Amino acid sequence: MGKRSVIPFGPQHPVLPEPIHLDLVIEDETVVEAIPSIGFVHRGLESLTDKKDFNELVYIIERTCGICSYMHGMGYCEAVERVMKVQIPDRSRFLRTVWAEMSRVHSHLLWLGLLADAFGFEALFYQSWRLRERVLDMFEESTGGRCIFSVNKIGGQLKDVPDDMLKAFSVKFTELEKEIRVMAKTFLEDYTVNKRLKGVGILTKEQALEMGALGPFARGSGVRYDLRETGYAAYPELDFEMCVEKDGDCYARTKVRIEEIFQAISLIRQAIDKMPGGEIAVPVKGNPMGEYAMRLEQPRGEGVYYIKGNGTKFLDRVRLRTPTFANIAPMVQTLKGCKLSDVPLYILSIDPCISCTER
Amino acid sequence: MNKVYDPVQTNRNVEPENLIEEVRKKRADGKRLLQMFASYIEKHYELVYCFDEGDYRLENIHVVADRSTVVPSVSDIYPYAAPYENEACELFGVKINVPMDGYRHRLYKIAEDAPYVSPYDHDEDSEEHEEEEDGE
Amino acid sequence: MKDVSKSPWIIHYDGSSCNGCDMEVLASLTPVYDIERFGVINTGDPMQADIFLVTGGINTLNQMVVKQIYDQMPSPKVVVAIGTCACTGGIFKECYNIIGGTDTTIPVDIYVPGCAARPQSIIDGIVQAKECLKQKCIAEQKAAKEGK
Repeated sequence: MGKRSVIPFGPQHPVLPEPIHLDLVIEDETVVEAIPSIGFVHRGLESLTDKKDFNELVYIIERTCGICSYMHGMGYCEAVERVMKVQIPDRSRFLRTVWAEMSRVHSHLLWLGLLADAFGFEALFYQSWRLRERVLDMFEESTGGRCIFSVNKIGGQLKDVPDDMLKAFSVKFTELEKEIRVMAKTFLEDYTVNKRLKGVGILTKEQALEMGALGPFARGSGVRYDLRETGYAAYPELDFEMCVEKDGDCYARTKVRIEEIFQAISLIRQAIDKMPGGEIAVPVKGNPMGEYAMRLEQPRGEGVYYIKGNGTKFLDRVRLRTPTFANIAPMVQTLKGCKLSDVPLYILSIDPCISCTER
Repeated sequence: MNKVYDPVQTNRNVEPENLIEEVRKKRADGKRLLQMFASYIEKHYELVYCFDEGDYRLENIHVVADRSTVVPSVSDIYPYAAPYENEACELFGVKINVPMDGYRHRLYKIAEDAPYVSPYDHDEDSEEHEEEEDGE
Repeated sequence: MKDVSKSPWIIHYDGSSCNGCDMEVLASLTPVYDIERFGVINTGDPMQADIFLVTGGINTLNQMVVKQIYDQMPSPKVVVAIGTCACTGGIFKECYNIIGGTDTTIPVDIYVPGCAARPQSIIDGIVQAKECLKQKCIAEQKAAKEGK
């Protein structure tokens, strides 16, 4: 029986750019228990429902997180549109799908870069972020912003994208896909990368179902659950297959995310080919009355947006449940029994977004 | 799983005494707890427990409690419900007996107690609202 | 004390930011925008850093952390507040938990506005911070000579 000591990890640490605090109880370099405590990024967004009306809340909800910012705005707008029974035009549905899938590509490339930095391969970190800049340039051309776009509004979109720009994006994505395939070979086949990733951080399918894991974290363990099958935005008219792996270790989750990048690029090309013409927004009258919980597939998993209106322009309650909040409990479970030097890899394999968790 | 477009959502009201029984039935059927949260509307709390019914359908169980009701904790049935219950206790002041192990009952570590509670009447003309009142 | 403004090292802390400005700070270090050509390296150790980049507003919990990192840095040091939330509190100023911008806790030398602040502005801010650091080094050397 070795000696036990407690090592505090965070909030300022070189692994993640975000503050998270963990108390690691270790016994001879093996982690026995991990106790998380959050609250450094807590701003208290949901208490702003009595100061801003439901149209202005879009801007606040978008700034919950800078990486998944588009999906937050989209989820909130879809929830309010379902409560108010507003049908958005077809072109707006397809534009939302294109931007949402572009968001997924840039978020997964960001994660691949941070993962490479965590196991010490800095050149690969720079390569993936260099490729990610191409996606951000496309965002800037179409919306004007690199992280926070503010193109969603209740009833549709604020900005339209001309068709020749969309065709140019389709060509750019085809070239980008070839470069990502070359880079993905290093992640999946290099000998040293495999040694760091295979067999590390195993979460079995039963554990994933019992602890409520979500997103690529659960799909790497064999759980078939992807909210894009529920048919919001333009997904009923596009065709895609869920990416699922069986092994449940960090390598399987990396493979799921890399496959999702290619699938997202294919969905973008399909949506651009089928893009209908027409207007991009409908006028919205009245105030929301009733409640609805909208569920979306964010890059990190399933996000739930619950709103409750009472007929006035101030909502009763807005509640976002982001996927990292649900993934923290299974992550703490997988940390038991790992080596101290692997802790950054375990934390990164759920793709944590702490500002989404704490709002 | 097959593609299910626009899945159905149902809402149901349950008394605080019957909550544990309902949650045990859900666990026995293998349903997943999606989330749990609290709202403060017109001077009483409304707790909502969302369950996934399979095939992406959703069932929301609403529990109405006032400021002195003690709501039983579901963390021994669903262990990962502890962070959600901690959040409801710390931000809203709901009385739930959350177990002490794991998250130490102070997940958020904020300076004020129950900062989300503010008795704001949703009149069209009313403009004033007070900050948190003196609750326990 | 020699002139450290030729190759200042930076330390970056995120205090209640939404991650937009943090990702832009990290994007400035990567090949397309590359502030490493100014001699800058991102370190995780406050005792070896010269420039402190803060993003996000200050809330009751991280006020202590920011002060502690600032106190651990050796002087001369320069603080750069990146993003609207670090300058004044931003769109979240009315939230109950946010006290304000970074200047409520530590003295700030350079403000870089934007939501999220673009890499071009961040590079401009860091180049001006280098200049500011050089002035502080010269002032310190002068004070040391006159003190003797």
